[in-house]
Order: sequence, then structure tokens, then C-alpha cells
Amino acid sequence: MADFEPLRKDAEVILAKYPRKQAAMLPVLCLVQERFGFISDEAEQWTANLLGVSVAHVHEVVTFYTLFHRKPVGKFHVQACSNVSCWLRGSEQCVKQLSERLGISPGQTTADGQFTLSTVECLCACEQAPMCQVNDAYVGPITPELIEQLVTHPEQVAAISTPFRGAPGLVEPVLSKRFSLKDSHLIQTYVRDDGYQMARKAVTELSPAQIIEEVTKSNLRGLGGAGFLTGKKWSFIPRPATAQRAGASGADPSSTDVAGRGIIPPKPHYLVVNADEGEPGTIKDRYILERDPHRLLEGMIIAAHATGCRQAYVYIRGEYAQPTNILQQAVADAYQYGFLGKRIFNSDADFDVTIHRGAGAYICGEETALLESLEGKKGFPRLKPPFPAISGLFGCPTVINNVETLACVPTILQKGGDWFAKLGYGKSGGTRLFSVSGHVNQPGLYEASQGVTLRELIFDYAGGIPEGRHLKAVVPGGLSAKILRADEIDVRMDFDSLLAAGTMAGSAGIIAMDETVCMVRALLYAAKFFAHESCGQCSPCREGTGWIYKIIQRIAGGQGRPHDLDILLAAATNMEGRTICVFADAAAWPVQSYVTKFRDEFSAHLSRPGADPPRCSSCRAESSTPALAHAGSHG
Amino acid sequence: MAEPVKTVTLTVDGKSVTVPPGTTVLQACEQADSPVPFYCYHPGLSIAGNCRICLVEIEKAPKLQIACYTQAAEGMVVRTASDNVLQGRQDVLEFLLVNHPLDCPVCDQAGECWLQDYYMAYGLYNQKFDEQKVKKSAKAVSIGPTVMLDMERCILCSRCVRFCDEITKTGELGIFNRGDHSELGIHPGKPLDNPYAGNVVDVCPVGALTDKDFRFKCRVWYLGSTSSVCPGCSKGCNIEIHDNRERGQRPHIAQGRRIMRLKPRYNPDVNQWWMCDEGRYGYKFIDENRLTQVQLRDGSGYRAGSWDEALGLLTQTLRRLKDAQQLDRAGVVLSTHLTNEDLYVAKRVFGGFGIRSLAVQPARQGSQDDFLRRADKSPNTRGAQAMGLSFDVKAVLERAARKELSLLWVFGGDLVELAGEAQAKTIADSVDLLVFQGSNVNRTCQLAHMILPSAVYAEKDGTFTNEAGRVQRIRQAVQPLGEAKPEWRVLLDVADRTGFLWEFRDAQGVFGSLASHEAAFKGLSYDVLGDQGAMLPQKGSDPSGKGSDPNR
Amino acid sequence: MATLSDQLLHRIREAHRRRTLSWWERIYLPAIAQGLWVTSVHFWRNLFLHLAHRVGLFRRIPAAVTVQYPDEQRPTAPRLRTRHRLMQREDGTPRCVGCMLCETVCPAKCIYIVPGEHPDPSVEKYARSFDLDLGKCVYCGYCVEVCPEDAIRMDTQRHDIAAFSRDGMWLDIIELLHPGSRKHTDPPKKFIQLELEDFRRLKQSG
Repeated sequence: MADFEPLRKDAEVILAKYPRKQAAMLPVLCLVQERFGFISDEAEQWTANLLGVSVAHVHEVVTFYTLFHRKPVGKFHVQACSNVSCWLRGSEQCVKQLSERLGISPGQTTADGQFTLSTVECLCACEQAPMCQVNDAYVGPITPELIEQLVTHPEQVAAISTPFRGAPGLVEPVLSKRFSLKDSHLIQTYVRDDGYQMARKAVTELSPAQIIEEVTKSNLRGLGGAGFLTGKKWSFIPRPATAQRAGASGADPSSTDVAGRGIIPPKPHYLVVNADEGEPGTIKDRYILERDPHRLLEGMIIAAHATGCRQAYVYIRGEYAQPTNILQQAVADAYQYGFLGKRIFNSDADFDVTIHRGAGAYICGEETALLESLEGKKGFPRLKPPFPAISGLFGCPTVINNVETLACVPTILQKGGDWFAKLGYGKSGGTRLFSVSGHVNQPGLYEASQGVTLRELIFDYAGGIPEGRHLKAVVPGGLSAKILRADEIDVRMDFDSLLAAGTMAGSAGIIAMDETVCMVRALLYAAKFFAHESCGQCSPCREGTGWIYKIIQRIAGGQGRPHDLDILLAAATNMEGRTICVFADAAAWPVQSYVTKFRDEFSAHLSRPGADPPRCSSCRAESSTPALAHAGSHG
Repeated sequence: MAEPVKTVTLTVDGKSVTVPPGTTVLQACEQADSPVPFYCYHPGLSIAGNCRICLVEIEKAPKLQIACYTQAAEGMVVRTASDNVLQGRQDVLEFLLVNHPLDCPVCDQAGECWLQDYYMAYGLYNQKFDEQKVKKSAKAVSIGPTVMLDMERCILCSRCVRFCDEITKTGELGIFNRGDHSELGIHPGKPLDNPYAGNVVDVCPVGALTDKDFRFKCRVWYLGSTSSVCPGCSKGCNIEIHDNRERGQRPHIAQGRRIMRLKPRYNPDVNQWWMCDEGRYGYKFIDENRLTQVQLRDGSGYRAGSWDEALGLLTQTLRRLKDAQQLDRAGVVLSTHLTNEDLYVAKRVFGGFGIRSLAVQPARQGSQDDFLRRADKSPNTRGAQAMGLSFDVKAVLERAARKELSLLWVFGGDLVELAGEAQAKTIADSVDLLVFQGSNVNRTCQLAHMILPSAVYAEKDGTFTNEAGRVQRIRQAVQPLGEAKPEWRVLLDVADRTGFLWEFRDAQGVFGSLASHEAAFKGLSYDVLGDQGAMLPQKGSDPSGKGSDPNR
Repeated sequence: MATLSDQLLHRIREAHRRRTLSWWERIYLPAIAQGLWVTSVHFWRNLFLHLAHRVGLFRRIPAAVTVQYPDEQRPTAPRLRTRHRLMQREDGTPRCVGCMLCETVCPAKCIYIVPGEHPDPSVEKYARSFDLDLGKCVYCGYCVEVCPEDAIRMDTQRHDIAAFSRDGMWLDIIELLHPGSRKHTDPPKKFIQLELEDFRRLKQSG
């Protein structure tokens, strides 16, 4: 019978960071798992008692998130990415090799308890595909040599160090200025480079209205994927009547007005940073967190001042262990320098930052699902309205922004909103960090103006298709975005141009597929992802994503039937617009676009009367369809 | 100057409807007689909005909206049956059925299953799904003393989870995992065993959560329903009695028992939509261990008698005592399980005789909580109090034990439990004629000289007064078993034989008389009581003026 | 004639008008003689042929159309609704899952089922007892139509049901699962309830 009491002290420290006990759910469970390696029934009961919730609700959380284990895992947990970008670079073979070398299948642990092998969804390190995560470290690209080293000397494999590709089209990089500097993540580097000057100016000289006006002029769009005008989003936050002095725990409830009547104090405003990067094909936020974390913090300070926030939570995906460590150090340093904490920049304002780690769920990138997860529950998106600006975290007005979006803010204040807008294209201001992966010669992160074309990115920046092959298809904005054929890549990458082209800019995750790619197989991997990541809250998405995956599995496995394509399209289309959040739509778009644009290829995989259904060489080569790893079923 | 109460007027399927602000479109549609299907919505629980079957068309909204969550707004135009809506409904239904097991033949919910009902109303499509359905961790497992769970049938509407979180606040249920492997369950070692667990079976729209007590007992299309009130405690939760209407030609079902189950009935002022398990499963006594024959002492045993014989003997005894001016040698013990009608007729008849040794047994006390359960485990204590009846039953029993009574007529209860075995035996030996009039066999039956069978609450019309002073109607669901009769009818018969004539012959008539003679019940009638009952009028309903505290 | 219905009415009336008989027809004796002739021809022909059949001659020429039941039996169509039987699973337990649909749909209310709990969760329910009062049955076949499990069929081709009492017409679950297993002299085991093991044992003992 394990003893949990030694954890209590650390748990209390965690609890103190949140106004509600339940919000400490994920960090406390993380603490338990770090100590014991897994989360047992007793651990769940202890956590339930600590947080004042029923044990069933703790169990819900443990089984919802991929990173929590209900059974012990091996000393080295090898989690191999099985999403599209890694598949394009041979992840299936890697998993097979790992499986053979370790003598176990995915989902199993070696008899000596040393290794557990799992397949996971996108780790968002696509430029180093094929990738895996060994315990906390990102390791890759996986090569036969790496596999050998992993199996024999696992403690010696190094985490990946990812080179930044550059900003070839820009006179002066905006977001990636410091990416290639040595020790770019240290506060000294940032301060030396005139860092935190804009934050100082914002807090000490500018009014919230002025900041919001500048950001509005800049046409800064939400760069997590939705593309909502940031200035407009900030303007939805209700103006507090008087300046608050509330800390993280909310205003003093015993305050009274002049007549001695108890008044309900205005609710605190929260800034939440969405660092739950998860869209397959996207790597950009990771670079910012690892190489320029102070840029993010400065952006946060400005945003907080513009919207009256005194407390910020950075929700960072659970797999990003190294970026979390770097950010934690950055936060600690910023506190030391007086940029965070009480009376920042010697002003009246307080600003606290708490880092909150996720636990493996793509859906927590959806803003209201993120809030639910932050509050210590399953990542179930909320019904809207109310929108977070009115009722968000803990029911209080909340600003949620993506990491990259906030990283743009200091430059907007420095160079002006008009400058930023002009740097972009149309109604999409500034530059973006474009993640290019798949079949290109130089996969990696590239900064370019919003107006750059897809052709430029693939052929001029990323060096074109390897081995002289031809491009067949491109995913332009993360796996959810509708695919473009090779003849459709003369399109600018800003939000409105891509929308007009029938797809979306999304998270700017570009995945290139060459002529060897079987589109049926590509859709198989996409469908597997959506079926695995559906939160399951509402019926069309929950049942639809699973159904779609099963149909494609059959088609890829050579048992496609004549009506399958119509049923596939119907299942996808019938989910759209009928769900609580747009995950279902995002799951439907790949199905609709791949099947419509490559119909012949799909039809060729179906059976004809009297003949065995054919499979293309790609499908035949990979004789097994990838297993759907289920949340909570590891080890 | 008072602000006018704002209302919202909207159009539903061309019909104009006005509702208070805060009303949802779903509620407005119901009011406009354009009902919209739903699963996860429940008026007594928070809104989840996850089933998506209540999608309706709202003008100016680009997508279909869920009616259960959308607030009705002024000038809104809603369509509940356009092609778009019907298609959306059908698609959502198809998604729900995609992984649903083909269990109808073996599922208890068949006949009252919302998937079946909505499929017949809005489905009727050619199904497209042709894959292997998802298998869940468990099928047909017990998750507590009263509830069975089938994870595969669950449509994950979360009504049961919200019930356990919001109503009982015990949180035993949760939905685990993610995606289409989501499943309802409990934490190992923490079963669903709160005192209201049975309600999750009511809220479950499909056969995922089913009642263990009712399992496989009877198909629901054989059942008939009668409105009544639970006699389990003084809360007076409104219920429906479900009896097997086919038992005439199908006597093999549940070994011929009549009552199959009880379900709560909505009453906003008493029990809302809920009832406790003690009451829900406390119906077995209606069909088991019943007294069905008039029995008279014959040596050391009993012989069957007739009502005529028994009542003749009783009338004779009473007349004899009256003539000898020895009516103080007659004692009556009533019960708080009797209806207002029974108590009133007893009061009038025995009062008419001049019998003063008359008292009501206090009810058995049990556990209570801050929700529905009350410590007083009888339904009509307040009724007896309101009629000013004495609760000093100790005095009556002591007189009986001291041989001061020739006749002791006990209605219900158990003398052995009330007085203890020794004193009960003494009483039986001391009294010339000990009459026990009750519905079920108990230890008093072995002591009594005359046993008269009573009808139970499900076998008669009448009223109970709950502890808050609400008078509620019970209705007859089945005929009294064997020779059993309601107490008030027996007493009227006795009165007939002694020359009193009454103009009323049914329970409604008795109540009418009660309302005009008892100040506490003034102004009430069955019409006024309706289906949800009515409060005792304030004046004269103060019970402490007459009668004594039954709990002393 | 104007309308179609007028034409139709006319034709009906025509058909119903009695035809006048000829003089020859009005005399009954010729008709009688004709009938007697036909009968005689058949009589002598059949007599000859049946005798010939007896000694093995003219076997292929059929004689009287009479089917000498029960020595000869007319072949029945497979869809003919005859006495019921319950279908077994491989281990001898009934396929019946106790859904009560046949009991409900039977217009004569002659089916009596008591269900029980099956330990295999994918089966869940089975019939502990299944009684059919053949004396009430109207042979409509609704029970077969409605059964979702193909657990009851009316294909035993047994239509020669006879009994000495009403009880003799009662089919208990054992007789239904194993048609013909009960002797005429044995009373039916009315409402007998069996466990799954009992069914398996019954199958093994034959």
C-alpha cells in the first residue's frame, strides 16, 4: 500500500497556485505519476480527497489524457510518433524495427521492465521526422543507428537539437530574430537585445485602449489556427470600473460599499496562453518556447495590461517537457528582474505567471476545452455563448491567445501597427513562422510574410522535393486543412487567400507529399488521428470519427466496397456544423478534400464485381493498418 | 413606478408564443406544441448539450442550433420540422445508433426506449453503417445494489452523471476514456449505492442503466399506470404504480403478482422528479404475505369466516356494550398508515358510539436526510393530527392489559412491535375480543381473535396528508385481494348495521364529508386536490391545539 | 352506356340472368344417365387398375385421386404452418432469448414464457420456460414472423395433432425443443423451468 503523504507538501504548493482546488488536478496527478510511475486506484482516491472531488471524476481525468498511465511502464518509455509527417518519412518501418529489436509490439513492455513501446500522435517535431519521445526527451530523427543506440544505451540518447532554417524572404526577421543566437533563451541575451522595453512602455506609459488600438491596426490574427483578429478579441473584455488590486485569488470578498452593503467584487481577468501546440505538421510554438521564451513573456505582459489581467496561466502541452523547463527558468528569471510579480517595472500593476502542463490531448488546444482542462477536468469544449471574454477561466473574463500571436505583440508596439500590417498581406498582418515537413529537402521552420506563396515556401525555401520527384499534394495549414493538389500551390498563405482557395491558413503547418504517396493511406493516418483525439462529448463527432476511420481502414486493407466513398463522404459531411466545437469539421475536411480531389485513386482501391479489390504498392507494403492507441491504455 | 415584467415573444413553426425571459427554445417549442426530441436535456439537471438531437433551425443562424441551450429571444423565428432539421435529426440519430448494440430483444427498456421512439418518429432510414461495432469494457454488470449497467447501450448523454453530481452530490458515476471508447462506469470499490440510486434508471433514456429489481420481470407494454402517493414516509412523494394489465390471461408473469414497479411522478412542490430507493422498492408487501380472508378464532387455530359474520359479531358486541353503558370497555387503535378517509370514518363511527379510548399508533421512525427521506415512515401522521385524534396509544394498551377493555379493535401496525411481546400476549388474554384489521400477515395475527383483511393503499382511492400539510390523492390501481376491503368501507358497513345512514358511498363522498366536518380540511375536495395535491388551509391546520405529539 | 361502371353493372346483370333451358335439358333423366355413365367408367377403370396395381401391373398409370392417408401422404409445401418447434443452439440450449415478442403478438395468447438471466453477456437472456397451448393456437404464424432470433419455427410438418384431453395439447419447453420426445400417455410438464445445464444434458441424453 503506497504512502502518498510525502507528496502532500509539494501538493500544497501546487494547490496554492489556483483559486479552486480542482484546478490542481493535472499537476497533482503528474506529481503522483512522477513519484510512482503510474496512477493506481489508491492514488486516485488520495487525489480525490486532496482536491475535494469524487474519485470517479479523478478516474475520468486519468483515463482521458494520454500521458497518464494506470499501470507501470518500463524504465524507458519509447513513444514513436505515428502521424502523417513522420509516416511520410518512414515511421512505420521505424516502429517495426523497434518492435523487432525490443521483442515487443506497440502497447507492450519488455519482460525485464526496461522498455515500453507505444505509438503516439503528433509530437510537433515534424522537421526531424521520424520522431519519438523517450520518457521526457524528444529523440530523432530515428535512424537504424539511433534505434541501435536506443536499445543498447538508452540513457545516452540525446534530445534533438533543431536547427532553425531561416527567414530568407525577409529583410529583418520579426519573430525569429534571436532563434539562431547562442543562449537565446536566457534573459541576459534578451535584455541585451533591448528586451522588455515595450513591456515597460506599455505598463508605465500606455493605456489599454492605446495598446488595443495599435494591435487592431496591425491586423494581427490568431496564429493558433482560428485567425480571429486579436485586437477585436481583446476589445471584448469588459472594462473594469476601477483598477483592481486583486491577486490570483480574486478580490477580497468582504469589501463593502459606502452604505456598508456587501458588494460583489468585479471578477478578476485572466490571461491564458495556449501553448498546447498539437496540430500535426506544426512546430512553431516549440521554437518560441525553447529559443525566445522572454519574447512570449513580454507579449504576455503587454496583453495583460491591455485587458486588465493580473494573473496568467501558460497551458503547455504535456509532451513539451524541455520547452517547459526552459520556460520555467525564464519565468523565474523574469521575476528576479522585476518584470513579473508585484509592482512590475515599479508600477502599480501586479502580474503573476503560472505554468500549467497538459497531459496529452489535442482537443485541449480548443480554447474552451483548454479552460476546462485548466480547471482540472476532462478537455470537453464548452457550449458557447458565453465566450471566454465574458465567462472563461473560473467563470471570469479571460483572454486566450496563442504563443506566436503574443510573440508578435512587442514588435507591434515597437514598430507600430501600420508597419506590421503592411509587412503582411491583405487583412493578415505581419509575418508567420511556417512549419514545413514531409517530402521536402530542408524540412524546418521558416519565417516569412503572410503574403508568401506556398510554392515559394516549398520550392524556394525548403529546397523542393527530394530525389527529383514531383509534388503530388500539400497540406497547407495543419492536418485539419483541406488538401491542395500540386497545381493549386500558387496561393498566398494569408488567412483570406487560403479561405478563398477552399482551404485554410490554420497553424501554418505545411506537409508536402510526393508522387509516391498513396492518398488513401495518407487519409488513413489523418483519420486515425482524429478518431484518437475526439474528446467524445457529443454524438456526431464521437461516433463519426470512429466510423470514418473504420471505413478507411477497410479500404486501405483491400476490402473496400463500391458504395464506401459515398458513405465516407456522408459520414464526414453529416458531422459538420452539428457539434459543440469545430473538431468535427476539422475531422471532416481532410476526408472531403482527399476523396474529392483524388477520387480516382480512392475508387481504384475499391472492389469491382468479380475481381479482388486491388491495393496499391504503398498499401501492400505496409500490410498492417496502424493500431489506434487509446488514451489511458498505455502499459 | 414598478418595472413591467418583460416577456419574450417568438415564433415557432408559424405559431406565436410568449415566454418569460430565460426560457430556452426547447421549452418554448414545447409550449407552442411543437415538441423537439431530446436525450441529454432534463429539466431538473444542468444543461449538457451533447446529444445534439434537439437541433432546430433558427432564422439568421447559419447552422442548426441546439434548442435546449439557446435562449429564446424576442422576434426569433424557429422551425422544428423543416427539411434541414429533419435531416439533421436523422443524421444525429444515425450516429447514435452506429455503435449501439442490437439488444432490443433482451433489453428491458424496449417499449419505453427513446432510441426506439425517436427512430420510429424521425428515423426510418436505410442504415449505412456496416462495420464492427465498438466493444466496451463491460456489458450487463451490476454497479450497485439496485442498478445494472450495460456500457454498450449507453449513448453518453451524461444525465446519470449529472444526477449523481447535482442531486445526490455523491459523484459515483463518470464517463471514462475518450472518443468512441468513452464509457460510463464507477470507480472500482465505490459502487452506486446512495439512497436515491434508482433514479438513474429513470433518467437513463435507453437501456444502459436498468433496474435490478425489475430485471426481466415483465415487458413494459403489458403495464398500466395509476397515479398515487408513496406510503413509505411522511414526505408523500408522488408516484405511479405500474401493474401488469395482462395478468388475467398471462398469470405466469412474475408468479402472478400484480404490481411490477413504482416510478416517481413529477410534483414541483414535493419530490420534483425523484423518489428514494426505500419507497421505490417498498411495494412488495402489496402482493406478498397478504391477509385475504376474514378469520375467526377456532380453538387454537382459525377458521375462515365471512364479512357478514364478522361484522355481525362486532356490531352485536358494540350494541351490547352500549346498552350496558359500558362503552368505556371498548378501545380502538388506529394507524398513521390509514388514509384521511379511513381515519375520518373511524372518528365519526366510533365517536358516534361514544368510544373514548381511541388513539393513533405513532409511526415507525427511520433515517432521514435533507433531501426526500423523512424519519416518520408513515404517510398520514399529519392527517391524524389535523383531525385532532389522540396519539396516546399507551393509555389504551395499558387499559387493555389491566382487563379494562372487552373489545380492542386494532387497525394496522403490529401490536407485538408496539407493546412488546409480553404485553401483547397479556392484552390478547385480557381482552374478550381482539380484532386485528390489517393488510399483511404479522405477529399480531397469531394473537388476534378476529382477523379482518384490509386493502392496501394501491387498492383504494383516498388521500394522505404529508408532513408539510399537503393533502394528496391516491388512486386505486388494482382490486383488493381476496376479501380485503378499505377500512372506511368496513366501518360504513358497521355504521349501516347500527342504524347510521350515510349519503356517500365512495371515497370522494367520504372526503366531501370530511372537508365539511373537519375545520382543518375546509374548502378541499378531490377536484381541488387534482393531481398535485393542495395544502391544508392555514386556519385550523395547527395540529398542536388538539391531540398530542405522536413522537413523545 | 356512358360510364365504365354502367358497363360493368350491365355485364353483371347479364351474367345473373337465368338462361332458358332447352327441352332436352329440362328433362332430368338424360343428365342423370350421363352422370351415371361417368361414375361407372371411373368405377370399373379404377377397380381394374387397383387390382392390377396389386399384382404389380400398370404401376405407372395412376387410378383414383384419393390419397390413402396415412399410408400415403401428400407432400406438403415447406411454408405450410405445422406444429411448432424451438430451435437449439449448438450446445442444446434454446436460441430463444425471452424477448416476449411472440407471446405479445400471438392473437390467441397461447404462448407463456418466463425469461432467465444468461451468464454470457452477449446473450444475456434466455427462456427458462416456454409453453404453448396448441389447443388455443390458430396457426397464424405470427410468432415465427416476429421472432428476431429464428428461435421458433412451424416447420416440423407435423399437422396430425391429436390428444385425449386439453392438457394433451399443451407443449412444454422440452417437447418444443425435442419434438416427439413426450409420450401420449405422459402429462405435459406445464410451466417447467430449466437451467441452461438442464438443456445441455437433455441434448446429450438424446
